[in-house]
Amino acid sequence: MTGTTALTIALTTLSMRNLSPLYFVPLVALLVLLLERELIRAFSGPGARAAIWILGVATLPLLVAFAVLVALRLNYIFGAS
Amino acid sequence: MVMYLQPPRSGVLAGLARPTFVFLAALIAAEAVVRIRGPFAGAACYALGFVVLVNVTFLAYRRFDGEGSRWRLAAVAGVPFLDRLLVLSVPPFRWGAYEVSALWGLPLLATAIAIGRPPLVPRPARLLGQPVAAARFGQPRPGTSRILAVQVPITALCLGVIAAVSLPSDTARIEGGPLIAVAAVVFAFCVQEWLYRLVIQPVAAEVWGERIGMLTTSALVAFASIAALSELVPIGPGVVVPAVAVSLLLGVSTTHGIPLAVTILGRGLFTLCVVLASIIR
Repeated sequence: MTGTTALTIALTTLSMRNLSPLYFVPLVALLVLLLERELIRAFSGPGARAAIWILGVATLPLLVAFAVLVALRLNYIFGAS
Repeated sequence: MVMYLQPPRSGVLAGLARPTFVFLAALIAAEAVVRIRGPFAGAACYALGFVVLVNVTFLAYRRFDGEGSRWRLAAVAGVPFLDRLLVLSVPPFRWGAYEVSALWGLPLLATAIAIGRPPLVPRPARLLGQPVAAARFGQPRPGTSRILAVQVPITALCLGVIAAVSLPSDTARIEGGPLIAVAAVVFAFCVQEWLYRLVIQPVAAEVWGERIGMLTTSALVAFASIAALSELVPIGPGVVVPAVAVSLLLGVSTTHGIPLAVTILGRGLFTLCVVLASIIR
């Protein structure tokens, strides 16, 4: 099974094609902040602790938004089946 | 050689004029992108603004070693960007044939709980307690406070009725909007009000003083709530003017020591009137 086929099956199963790209904007912001947090953690210098705390607080609402998206998606999939 | 002596640009206002201007320009530009290029491009702009402000917060914290109010101001400046990003991009939930965009209240609630405490807000106000911003503004007598606490929600309700009556007659009816959908919308707007009054107003008051802090916060709440309302009902001058008035009223009441719970109740009643009007019509 090629990667494209696997991706197609996954997208069909999760009905991902019905999702608007708009919903992924906060997820991209979340990924950027998480990546930044991990980079700061890896190259920890002075002030790294504060940066990790600030980034942790900033990612919390985006994580909740992600959880809401997943919950709605699960509700859509299991509600439809 | 002639030397012109310039007065020193001392004071917080002078130092913050340029960042404030940039912040307002970015906020207006992002909202213009929402209206012109659509919600996807607008949400991307708001996300970019939020990520930038998070980094500015970190840099300000490091530069001033966690002291002063500049890093706090940078942190709370990210709240309107986050708010608009969530309003635009959190998917609506379906209840039967009804689709409502109100789940953005949950991430905002998490934000309020996470940042509405020290070190960002040194002395956070309790829901039933007196807001800190009222401490130097003048505390009313207990009798006056009780009267104001009753008057504020009633005035907010009246403004909500005015906004509801002013809705355009061709407003699409929200067919069979169930009670839970209305409650979810009202809850989201109440959380929004709580977040701004709990977090932004004390920090803005610390930097600019109580009056300008209150006016700034009220303007931001008015902007955010009107923009969020525009996702539910068509917005015209008949809705904008009462919405601005109710934001100002709630800001004034907060600085006069009215508990945050009363302020939130006022916002809830105003939103309830507007949402119910689109169901009943």
